[in-house]
Amino acid sequence: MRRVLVIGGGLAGLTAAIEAREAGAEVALLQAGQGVHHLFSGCIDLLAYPQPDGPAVENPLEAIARLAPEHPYAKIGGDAVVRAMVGFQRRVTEHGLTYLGDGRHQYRVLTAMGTLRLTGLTPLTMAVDPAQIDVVCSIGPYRNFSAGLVADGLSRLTKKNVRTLAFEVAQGELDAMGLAAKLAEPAESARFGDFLAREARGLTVAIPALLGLENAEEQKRSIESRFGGVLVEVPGLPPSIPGLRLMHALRRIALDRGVRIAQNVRAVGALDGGGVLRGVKVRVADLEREETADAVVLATGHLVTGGVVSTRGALREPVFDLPLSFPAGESFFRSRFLDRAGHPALSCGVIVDSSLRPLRDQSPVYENLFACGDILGGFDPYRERSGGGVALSTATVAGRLAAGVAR
Amino acid sequence: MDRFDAIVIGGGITGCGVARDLALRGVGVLLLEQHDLAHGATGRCHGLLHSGVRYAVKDPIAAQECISENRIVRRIAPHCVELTGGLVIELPGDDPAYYHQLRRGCDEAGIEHRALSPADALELEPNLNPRLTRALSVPDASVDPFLLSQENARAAERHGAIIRTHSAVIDFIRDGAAVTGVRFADDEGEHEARAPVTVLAAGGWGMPLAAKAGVRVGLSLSKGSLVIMNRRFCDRVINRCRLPADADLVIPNGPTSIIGTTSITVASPDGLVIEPRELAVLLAEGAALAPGFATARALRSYAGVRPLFQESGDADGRGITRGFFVLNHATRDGVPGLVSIVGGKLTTYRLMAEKTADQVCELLGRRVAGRTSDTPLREGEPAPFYHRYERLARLATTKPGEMVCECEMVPREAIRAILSELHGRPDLADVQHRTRLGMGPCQGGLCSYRGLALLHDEGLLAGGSPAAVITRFLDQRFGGIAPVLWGDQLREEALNYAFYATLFGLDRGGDA
Amino acid sequence: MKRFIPEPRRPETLFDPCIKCTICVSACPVAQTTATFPGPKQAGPDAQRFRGRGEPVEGPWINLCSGCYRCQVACPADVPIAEINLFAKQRYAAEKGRDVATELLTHAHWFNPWGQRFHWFATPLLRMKWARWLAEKLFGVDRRAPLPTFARESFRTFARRHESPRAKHKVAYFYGCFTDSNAPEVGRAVVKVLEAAGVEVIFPVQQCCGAALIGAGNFDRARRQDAANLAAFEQALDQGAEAIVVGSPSCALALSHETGEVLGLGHSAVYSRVVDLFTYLHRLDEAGELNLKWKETPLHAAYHEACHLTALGFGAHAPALLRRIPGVQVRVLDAGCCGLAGTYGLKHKTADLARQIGAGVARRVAEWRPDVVLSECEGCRMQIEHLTGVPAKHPAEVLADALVE
Repeated sequence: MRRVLVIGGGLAGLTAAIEAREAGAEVALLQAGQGVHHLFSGCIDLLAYPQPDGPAVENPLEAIARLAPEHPYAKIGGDAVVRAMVGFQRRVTEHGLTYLGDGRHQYRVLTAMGTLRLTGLTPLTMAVDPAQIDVVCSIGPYRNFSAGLVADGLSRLTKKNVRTLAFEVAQGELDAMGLAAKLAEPAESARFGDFLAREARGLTVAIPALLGLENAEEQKRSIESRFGGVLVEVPGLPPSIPGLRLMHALRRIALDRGVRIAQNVRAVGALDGGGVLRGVKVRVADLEREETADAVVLATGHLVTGGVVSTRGALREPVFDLPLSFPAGESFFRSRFLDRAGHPALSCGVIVDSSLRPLRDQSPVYENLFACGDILGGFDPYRERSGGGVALSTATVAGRLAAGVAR
Repeated sequence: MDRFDAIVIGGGITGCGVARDLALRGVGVLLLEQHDLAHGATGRCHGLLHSGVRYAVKDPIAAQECISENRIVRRIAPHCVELTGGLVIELPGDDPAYYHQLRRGCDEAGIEHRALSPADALELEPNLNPRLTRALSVPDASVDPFLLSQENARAAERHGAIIRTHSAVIDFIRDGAAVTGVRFADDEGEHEARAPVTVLAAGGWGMPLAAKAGVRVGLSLSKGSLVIMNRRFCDRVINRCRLPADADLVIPNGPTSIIGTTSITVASPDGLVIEPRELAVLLAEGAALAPGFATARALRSYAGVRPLFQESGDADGRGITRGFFVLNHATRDGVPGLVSIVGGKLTTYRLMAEKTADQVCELLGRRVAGRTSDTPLREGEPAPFYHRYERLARLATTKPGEMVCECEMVPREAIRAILSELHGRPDLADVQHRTRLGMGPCQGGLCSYRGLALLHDEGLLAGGSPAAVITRFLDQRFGGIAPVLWGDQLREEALNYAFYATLFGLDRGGDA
Repeated sequence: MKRFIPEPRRPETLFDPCIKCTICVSACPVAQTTATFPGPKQAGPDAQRFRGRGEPVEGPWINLCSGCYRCQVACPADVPIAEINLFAKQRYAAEKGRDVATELLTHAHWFNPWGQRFHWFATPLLRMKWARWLAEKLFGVDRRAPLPTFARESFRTFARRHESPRAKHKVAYFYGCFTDSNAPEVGRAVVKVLEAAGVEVIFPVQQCCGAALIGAGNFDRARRQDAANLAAFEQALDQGAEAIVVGSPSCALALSHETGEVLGLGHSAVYSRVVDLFTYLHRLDEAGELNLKWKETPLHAAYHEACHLTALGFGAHAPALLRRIPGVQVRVLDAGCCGLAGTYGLKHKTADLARQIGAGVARRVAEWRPDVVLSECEGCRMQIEHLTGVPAKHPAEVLADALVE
């Protein structure tokens, strides 16, 4: 059996591992941490702002078809994006997570800042038009959510008077994980439903994204049945429960399919077999060892996760020392932090061919190394709001290619 | 609110000190500050409470002033000072003669000093350069300039002074040649205030204001840049044993270390830029004092201007006296009712304030002696929570959900306690200056949101757009991070950008 | 024995890479259960930044860290959060001392041989309500917490008379205190599987690995025990052992990482050969040398990956191997920490917390209703049995039973 090693356990790494496994490979996923799923809203952003100065696009797939050739989406093609999206939706549905969206329109999702964000695929728990929201209810007290702030922002956007409510959870001094666990207890959920029945019967109520890690949709339905209205989750600062929910579902799928997941291990170098990778050198704390494989998928993410590292004035890919698409002498950031044009350091990455193989001087560095997700060059996941979609679709392709089957 | 005995322009440490001194003498004071207290040079200095050793060779008078004021400030403001002590270390290549001159200078100025063997110095400070050849122990200390300014302002308020931040003076009100008051603007509009004496204590911002009264005050603006490191390398202030030069001071400040400074003459106190070569010098010289600097994480960099009084045209900032001057513009320039206080330094702020207040009282015809040298800033009231260890101890009593700024351990209560001091336009920076919110490694990544939420929930955003308030704060704070953007701090900002741009959409105004 | 110290760890520098991403908080089983613990980020890198030399140590909350390592495992920046907490625990204990329960339980390796020798008395005694009540009052050992039984014959005794047949491969087996006094059947199963796989097993005379002592901040004592172990296993390697196979993940973590990184002794070539049983078997398999024959064994098993196994960084190799046995169905639980965390679940002060932490694992076991829960870690096995009533075994026991002899 072909042995595939996936480095990285984020959305891209887990997806690639599952794809490779489903394609018949024996798969090991090595990760330095646990994947930074907790940082993301739980939405899968496809593409909202292809141009720094241009407007938002309302049809991501249509915009994907018009991207420059160096964009990862352009490298794999729009059909691969659709297939990856549909495959993802089918897979996570089996684990109780419904993701809505067809890539042909955007969802508007309210945030804990009281602002709106655009996304292509949204969890069922967030899939409500913000204009429908009547009430913002805090759960907690929770330091990463102010109902007043959210209602204020929403009122400004919708010109509608949005009310606030506060539901106090027993042991409300806990942080997100504890609050979500508490609220997931049937008695506490019921108490919350009854509270809303008194205060907001039949209304659409926005709450911080604190529904449970498991069975969130069931919990949502059960609370809704008590007050006859609609609950909407609002994403905010980490730890993001919807992001972790997705991680748990993907891990579950990977483990059930027989993927071996090793954590706390960092890939640090290549086992070079002369144009072919034999595997990677890895480290646990200061102890080094080797992991061999027939193909390797690099899904180590970007700066935040160490997929790209920096010193004063230089950026580097630390595992294979792959060339990065970063012009020498460029500053890492622009002078304004919240610049809508994004920042040069965030859009640099590994340059790949149409089979997602990293290139040096236009030819693949190793014929059996594939890259996917944030580490890819040619796009800016932060500015474009395309990180989730690129991760899913490039990982799907990379996983299959690594397993030795057609994309 | 329009008639006072005296108006003080400038809410730096000097202005706050003058306001307190006058208030203690029973003079009715209005203090006007265009931004926030300690916004200018005060909040951008290194926070060193000089023992005077730095001036002991070159400027004996400054050295004497320093040691004498150092003792007073420790006594009257113990909660603003960390009694770190200081070391002067000689490294290979430093002129050995300077060491002996320095000891003589210390003797003459009355600065206690004690020679330490290199081994003893390294025992005290294991992170120091192990190649150090000689060391002296001196009574330097670390002082929080924000807190010291605020505490002077609070004390002034308790004695009847009125403190107005975010109130920019537009012009003087004149009666013939005489200055009889000021016109100033805040969020609500323009106002007038009148007083027989107006004190200009606006540092580098004083020149253009003085010009409006037809007075020329010769100031040389010397920019000093500094870097804050994420770790506390030394528990003592570290001085290099040589004539004051670039980057020869490391000062412990709470959990951080500050390395400073450079000295470059500039034309304006606004829009200071830290040049890459300044940064290179600071980090390289820092590494000479404590080798760990080379690989450690820098949090941010900042620059302030020393407003040095200069009657003639000397070009080099380090050559000019660090002394201070009280100018009575009635006798100097024929403009009655206006007094300027120029030059000086943080350590001697109290003496500067006293001399200024003496002048004001003379003009007011009041014979009241100053009593700031023996009156504590906190006269019996409990001191606010501040010290490093006290912050850590808060972890035991603060539930996780109540901690707003986790890096600097600022609980919700600590922020609530200062909300009544916020005037005018709501600004997270004002909260930051009073609590250290957002001053830690993540530089506001998590707590900007929480701070904003708190201000909003307390009704302090007063109809302003929350998105606009936080965008302004985040963009402003980035100015100090941009120069040190590599390694961990680059990762940090990538993360923060993911929150505030990608998640919250503030790069696009948040309206999708 | 020469050790190499790539970069000595100093708690005052370890927090620099923390970018406050908060992943550790999402991974910490304690922080989501109680607000009395500030969470791994605040307790670890945040607090460490404020800890000054010579200043008094901060509150007792540091001992609420269970030492599960999940924070450290989760960290994308390699901040050794759990180890920062161990340094803090040591400092706290040096100033304030340790409570009786901690002292008692971290020295269990002193009492275990006696318990085992008098097993006919000790085992029933530990099941008596009044004795447990008394132990809680006197020693702070929770009266409801799961305690082991003592074996009739220690593994040590078995090992002394056992002669492993000569084979192509040879390993030194570190069986650990629990296997020795409380679960020698696990040790016998490990030996049986290894021998069937063509591996000669030797049994160097060994001390406790020190995991519990290190976890309680008692570094000095742990260092002393380590010296004896290092010498014994160095000798074993000299005698031709190619690896040090460890059955229990916590022992493996203590030997291969904690002695070097936390005790500050540096790493040694000896301990770099430490490997968990299933990783060793996997390596044989990868080399095409694992030829085991299985008999049909109908078994519906849930596999629980112990936190310390995760921390070792090899990942769990057991499920794949178990799935080769015809009739065995294995599903990985992936439901978080069981809560026991060494002595944490035994001490009265924290036993309740430990049970609450383990609720997630218990819920999933109740949902799946497996015949058996499998885990390499003895603490996890005790706790899961205690919380669910479903029997728990070491996966080697299933392998041993399924071997065609």
